[in-house]
Amino acid sequence: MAVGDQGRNGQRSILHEAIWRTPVPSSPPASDPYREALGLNLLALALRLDHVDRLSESLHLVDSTHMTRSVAVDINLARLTDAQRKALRASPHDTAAKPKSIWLPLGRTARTDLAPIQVKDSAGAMLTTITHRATVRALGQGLRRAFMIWLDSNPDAHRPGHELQRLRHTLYRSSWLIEAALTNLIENGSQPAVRHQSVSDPGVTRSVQIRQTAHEAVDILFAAPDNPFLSLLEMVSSEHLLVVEVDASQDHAVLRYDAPVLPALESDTQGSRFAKRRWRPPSWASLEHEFTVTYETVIPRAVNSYHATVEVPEELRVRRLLMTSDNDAYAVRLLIGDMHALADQYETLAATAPNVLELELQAIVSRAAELGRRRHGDLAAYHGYVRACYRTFTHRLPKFRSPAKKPPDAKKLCHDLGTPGRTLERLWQLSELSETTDDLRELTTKLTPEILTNWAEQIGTAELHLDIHVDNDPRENAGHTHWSRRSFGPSQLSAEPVKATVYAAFVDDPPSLAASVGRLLFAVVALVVALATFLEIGPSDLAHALVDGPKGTPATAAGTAQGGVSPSGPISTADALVTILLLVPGLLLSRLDIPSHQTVLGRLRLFSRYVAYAAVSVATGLALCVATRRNDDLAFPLVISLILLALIVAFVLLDGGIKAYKRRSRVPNKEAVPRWLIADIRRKPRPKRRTAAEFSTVGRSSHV
Amino acid sequence: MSRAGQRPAELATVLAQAASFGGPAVAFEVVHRTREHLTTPLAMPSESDWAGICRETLVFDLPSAGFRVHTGFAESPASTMAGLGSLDARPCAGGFSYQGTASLNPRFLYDSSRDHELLLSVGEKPWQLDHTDSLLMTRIMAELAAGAASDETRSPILLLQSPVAPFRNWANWPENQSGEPPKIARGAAIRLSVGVDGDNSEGRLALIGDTVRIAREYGLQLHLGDRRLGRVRGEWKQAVQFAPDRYAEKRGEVEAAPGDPGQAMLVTFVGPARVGSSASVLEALANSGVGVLAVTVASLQELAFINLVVAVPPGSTPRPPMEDQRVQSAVEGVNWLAALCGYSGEPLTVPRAVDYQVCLTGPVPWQADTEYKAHPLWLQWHAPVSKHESLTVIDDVILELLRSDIVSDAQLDYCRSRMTGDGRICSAKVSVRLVSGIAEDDLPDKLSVLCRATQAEVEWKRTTQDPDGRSVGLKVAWRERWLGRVKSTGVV
Repeated sequence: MAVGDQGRNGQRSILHEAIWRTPVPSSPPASDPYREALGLNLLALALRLDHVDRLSESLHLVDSTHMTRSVAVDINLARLTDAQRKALRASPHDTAAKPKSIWLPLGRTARTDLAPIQVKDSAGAMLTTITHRATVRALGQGLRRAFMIWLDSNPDAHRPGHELQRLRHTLYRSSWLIEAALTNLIENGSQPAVRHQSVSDPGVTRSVQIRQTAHEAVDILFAAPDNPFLSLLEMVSSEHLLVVEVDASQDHAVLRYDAPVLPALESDTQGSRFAKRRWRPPSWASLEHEFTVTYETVIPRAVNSYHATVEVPEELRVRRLLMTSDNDAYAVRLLIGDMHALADQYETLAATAPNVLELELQAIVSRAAELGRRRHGDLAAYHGYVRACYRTFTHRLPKFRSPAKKPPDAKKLCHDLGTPGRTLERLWQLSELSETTDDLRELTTKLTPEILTNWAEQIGTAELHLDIHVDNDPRENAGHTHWSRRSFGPSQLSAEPVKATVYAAFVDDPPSLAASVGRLLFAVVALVVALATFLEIGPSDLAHALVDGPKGTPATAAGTAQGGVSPSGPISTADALVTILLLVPGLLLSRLDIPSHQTVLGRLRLFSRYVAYAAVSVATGLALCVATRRNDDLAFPLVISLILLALIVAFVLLDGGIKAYKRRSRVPNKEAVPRWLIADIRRKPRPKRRTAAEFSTVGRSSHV
Repeated sequence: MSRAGQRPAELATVLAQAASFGGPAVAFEVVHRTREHLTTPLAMPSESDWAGICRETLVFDLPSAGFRVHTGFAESPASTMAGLGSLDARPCAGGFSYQGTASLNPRFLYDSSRDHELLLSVGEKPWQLDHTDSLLMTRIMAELAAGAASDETRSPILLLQSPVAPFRNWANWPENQSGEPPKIARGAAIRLSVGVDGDNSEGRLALIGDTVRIAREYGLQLHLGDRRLGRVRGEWKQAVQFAPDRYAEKRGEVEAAPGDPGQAMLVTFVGPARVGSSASVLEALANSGVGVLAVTVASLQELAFINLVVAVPPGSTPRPPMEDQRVQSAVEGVNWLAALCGYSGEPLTVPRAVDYQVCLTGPVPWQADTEYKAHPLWLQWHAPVSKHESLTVIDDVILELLRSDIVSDAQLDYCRSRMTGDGRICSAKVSVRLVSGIAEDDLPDKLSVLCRATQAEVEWKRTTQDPDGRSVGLKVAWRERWLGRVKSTGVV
């Protein structure tokens, strides 16, 4: 079964299940015109957010797996028509043409995230939010009305003898059952499947017959692919609308609210927004030099401006922040579709209508060139951003790959664009060529069906539908990026929502725990060296001890009782030495700020924490040896301690080297970053990796 | 994301609008205007004589007759109504009016489809069709509509219109300019706009292939809407050249009464919009020897309106329809028209429009177009929703044009208005006949000055008349593309 079929049947099965679990009504469901109009208008507005001028989100990481969002919504009620205002009136008894206050949807959240949300206006006054119960009742009434309209609009519903006509005129209880099932589904959400009894089963009841009729009617009504009614139903049954009461006398207002805490994607629940399961190491074993996060959200159809701000505690730094969006996804999908279709029809058109073929090819080239211009602008902005990042720690600016060599003619360029490599650079050359020369005429001699197919493949592979918006926040512990809608020509206007992904990398830059741990490590090394000096154990003794190994004779009480340095007993100042070996590292360790490993800071400081623990452990082990071994047998523990400390120092240096390398990373090799960007900066792109934490508000119905 | 992803939002909007206005029914009024009524002011129905707010309007005027269609939501609930309700036919101030209601048709959601335009013309021949031409036109339009409804394309017709301004593109005319001289307002040309799903590139190419075949077969000139990036409506690329010999040959194959039709019937088919309904109707007419002199097909609020001027064969003296025949079912209507044109074969059917109804007015006197030297001007403006007189901007424009020294006559050809959110978008075409003595080379300058002056004057008048001082954003241009982004449905 194709994926589309599965989705469609899945949507229909939700309604089927509701039919089989809803009690069969014996009277028609009550109708409330006010709620019907309110529910449908809330739904239509929530899908498009026509009244929202700007959406701003401020993201805060509570810990490494939870995020909070503060949302600011700039609303413009002038976008609402009088009819909409009337339908959205907060009081059903307000009969004025322009009601004083109206219900207004501000967004959609998954039902799993349902939590009380307080919405405030710009003065800080709290606004009334409609209850979940009241929302679903209005939506239920609205969808019930919508179902009746959908049924009435079916020509078969007026054809005598047809099942739909019988459903409408004689099989009332099945019709009422469908309406009740819709309401039930919206109020209680979809639930696990129940076993359907067949009418052919022995002893079948009247109730089963009614359900079976309703079940079959749904199959007939929603047989067509991609049924928009079922998409609406799925959305309404899985999401919750945030609706507030606003003063309708003012057109412009800014409303703020804190969205429910967002957990990182971890579960493997099929079909839900948590579907991206992957294995992660336990938090105590996850050594990271930078903590990377993606936040995925959907910008509704009518919203033209979106801001995302990420703020972290002062101890952290935002190393990279960028936002990608699939703003051009529709235009690129059309372009690729046109390329494939034209490649298929190429020979036919060349034989029957060469003018049409030339026109189609020119249309394709003009759109591909525009795509190149757009992405090239994004690339230039990204280069500037990385240079600005470099200036914060070095005078040596990053080196990017030099522009690709210009092909000698348009024919060669058309051919090169169809081969793997720097697709963006080729598209940029195409756009330059189309503006500066006349070489891109007579395209039928340059673009063959094979080249068209290759272009489509390369443009799709390079993810050129994803644009990039970079950080412009001067603060070190915060980042901000702005997105605005860009149309791709009058025939490429898309009414689809846009998916935006914010990528951020956080680091523990100096002054950091690593520096403090370095000092601790230095102190322990100095202590061990000082101990060797005090015991007059020179490098040659250490070398011999390493070769000979431990002598294996424990200290005796008699030896110590004689006082002074006895070859058969522990050193006389052992207590003092043990105290120093335990106290100094212990004091230094206690002064370190080691956060919980659940926090982002704790995750980033895990390696430093382990280094500190290891250094103190070495000092403790040495103290134990000083306390228990003979004074002439301390060379071996000392040399082992020094070797261990040297290893730790080597790890610390290696860690520092990796950090320095990562700080100079020109492009993150992550899934959130488009391939065209990686390909333009890295010579040999590697498979993209996922980030340490992924957050998403994209529900399973967010395409609606 | 497939186009299906866009439909839920469209459906929710349509349903919300219907619920806000009380009932899931669309009220409509079709007015057949005869020659003596063409000068009446072009206001929309006011709220007092119209149940709800008029949401969409289509006006199509010809020298001898015209059509005016308004739709809006019905105020009274009509949920028990079966599709199209009964139509009320009566004489009115503007001509003959047909009012009715139809249940909402939320299955027809094509606002977000790609507008794909084609222009077929008999060279630069003016719109002076004899009976033979009208029969050929019917055949061509039937084949075009069938191409749009074919299994490969399966797309709705957003606009099918004739006569329209044919396109002329002279290279380097005038020097270093864009090569588009002033055109004639009405030519023997057909303009077709099809709403093809963005994901259906194969269907779009199949439609183009079909159209190229039709153009070649009939010897017509074919222009395709320029789809290069940044190009707007009114920019065309020639795909097939005019072949006068081939057209003459096809004319010769047609068995028709010689001469110009002296009378015509005004006909409107109305029903729930769906893919293939126009093809059904036009094919039935073409198969029964019915000649169509003019046509405009459009869907308003998901209802299809197929407006036709049907030629009465020269020499015949048909009886006008009886009072109870003014409104008939589509099947009865095509058979009635076929009988009027002398068809006596098997009864005709309209498989994709069986639930449609037809409104018949006439026969009305008809004469060939004498204004073929008129030039088209394109207009666009917007107005607040509540203003029922927003269409009268056209009357102001025509009045202003007539005041000009260089204009001897001005007439509305076509107008379309549509509610979009908080306003009403209107687009129109006016034909102006200039005084004699203006040299061809001076025409662009004269027309440019005329457009600028008219635009400024009417804009100023409207702004000062509005209590809130709001502008109507009027644009007047003698080149269609200068209006910018306009879809054939009237939506920017």
